[in-house]
Amino acid sequence: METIKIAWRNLWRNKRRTLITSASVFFAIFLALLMRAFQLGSYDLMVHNIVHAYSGYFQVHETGYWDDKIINNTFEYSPELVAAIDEVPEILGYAPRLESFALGSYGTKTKGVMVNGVVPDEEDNLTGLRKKLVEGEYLTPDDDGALVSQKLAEYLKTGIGDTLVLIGQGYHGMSAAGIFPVKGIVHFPSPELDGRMIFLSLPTAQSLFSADNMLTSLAFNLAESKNYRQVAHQLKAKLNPEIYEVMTWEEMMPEVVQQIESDNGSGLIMLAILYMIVGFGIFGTILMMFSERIREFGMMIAIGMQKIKLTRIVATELIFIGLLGVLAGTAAAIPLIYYFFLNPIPLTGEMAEATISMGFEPVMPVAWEPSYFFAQAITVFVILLMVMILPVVKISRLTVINALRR
Amino acid sequence: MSIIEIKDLKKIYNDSEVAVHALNGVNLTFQQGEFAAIVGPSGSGKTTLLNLVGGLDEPSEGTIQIDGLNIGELSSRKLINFRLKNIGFVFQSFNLIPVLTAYENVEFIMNLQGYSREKRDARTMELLEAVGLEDRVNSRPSKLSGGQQQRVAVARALASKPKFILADEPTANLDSQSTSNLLDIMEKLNREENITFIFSTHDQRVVNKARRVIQVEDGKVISDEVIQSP
Repeated sequence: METIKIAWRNLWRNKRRTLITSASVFFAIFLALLMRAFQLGSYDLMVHNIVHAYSGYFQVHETGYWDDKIINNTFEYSPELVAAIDEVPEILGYAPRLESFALGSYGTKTKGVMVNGVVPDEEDNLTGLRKKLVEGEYLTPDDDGALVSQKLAEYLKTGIGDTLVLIGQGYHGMSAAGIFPVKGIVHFPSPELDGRMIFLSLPTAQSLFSADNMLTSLAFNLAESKNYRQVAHQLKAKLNPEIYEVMTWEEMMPEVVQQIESDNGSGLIMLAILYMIVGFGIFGTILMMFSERIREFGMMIAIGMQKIKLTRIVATELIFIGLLGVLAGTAAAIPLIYYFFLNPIPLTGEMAEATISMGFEPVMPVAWEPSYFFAQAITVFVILLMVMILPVVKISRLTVINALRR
Repeated sequence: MSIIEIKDLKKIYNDSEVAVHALNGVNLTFQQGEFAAIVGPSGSGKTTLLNLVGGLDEPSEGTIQIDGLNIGELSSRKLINFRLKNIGFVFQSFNLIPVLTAYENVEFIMNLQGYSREKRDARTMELLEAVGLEDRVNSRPSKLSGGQQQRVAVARALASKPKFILADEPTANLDSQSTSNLLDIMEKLNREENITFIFSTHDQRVVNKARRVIQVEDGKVISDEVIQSP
């Protein structure tokens, strides 16, 4: 208590200096929290969009499918597989798919398309496909019609009620050909997806590709998104690795992970520079504080205070400075971040268009999770620990007589 | 038995190009209950002698034994602990802890010694009453006069129940009234509680009160006179 009392009172011996130093920590924390909130929020949105646009948090394929995506690399949608999935309670749902490429044709127009055989409700639960419908009707479970992406429909000059021809290769060399009435038009924000997607009901697609009860993938949705790696690992342990591969979205899309990591890295460098400046500020304060009070330190040691106790007082002062800045900075940032968490900033103009073209929502979201609040506080305290080295060394080398002569 | 025994004490400062012999073979002993003044001109070695006896500085040669213990053999940590338990200091410029009140400054030493709250409270009040500052317990040093600060310093020095108190020019920054008050207090404590005081001083008023006067010049004791009480 004595240490805390002396340290606290020492802080206010030079109010202005304490406030300036704490203010530097305050601004560092405030800016770092805002920066991280927006940065992590954009990654969360990116991941959310990717997961809910197509991939799910993880997928099950036949082993080798991801490296060689052909219709022959399919697996049976067996009751044993379903039973294994049902044993993992964290799984909220999954979308069975049979995907392959074909030529899509209407009238005189033909284009390479991606055919997705889906269970309409499950697909909607994972990717919100129903919401993407801009014209016509959504698929029923045994529908024999097709949903065509908007840009592709425009290219093929096809519309609701027209008959689309699909020609391709089926399972084990069977020919795949069929005609499908266009039942609905769906729009994808990503121009790439919008230009090539066709959705059929799963039985219709299995019939087209002569792949009865076969799937190319199962895409999984989870109740709690944070632990997807753990859940994927759990499911993997239940499946025969010779037949099934379980891949998280990160494994399926390493380029996205790299993009996030590289952006995150540059953000962290910015933070490091910010904290370095603050660190030097605190360092300057401690230097001044030390040289001003060296005689007092000498007196305290002279009358019987161990150097370690003296170090504790100085360290406590530094911790108080850090705490003042961290608490004030966090308190100021929390309401702002929470407001933007509830009300993401909408993007407008070219920035919005660019975001939409990448398939993302045109908003600047923020992340709301305690981990980065703690990370900033811990960073400040690590800086303080580093700065503390100076007084610790100086006090340990202090000779009473020299200090008293100052 | 002597509480302090100084043998062949030398202190040479090599800070400048020319070595300075601040103490040149000092031999002294002090008994419990002495009220002694070390006098001499500036640069004679009084403060150096006091610093060495207090374990604040290391001798170049010679030994200082306190209650039979050679303090030169103690590690830095043990020496600090030794000072805490055995030596009280009164400095020329008071050297109180500026952020603590008079009460807390006195209590501080006992806190370091690990006394219980009750013991600290009782002794702090007793000491502040002894130095006549019972009405200024909550004042910080900046709100006290020089004389009052030095009385707090005396109370602080006494707080740990030391074997002796070293006072380096304790009256140098005080007016005559404060000096007189302080000396009366210290003399009273010496007489009534048999506390040993050793001063270094220029001040004739301190010398007049002392019952032993040790004159130092050029790092040597040139006279050591015991004055009989009237």
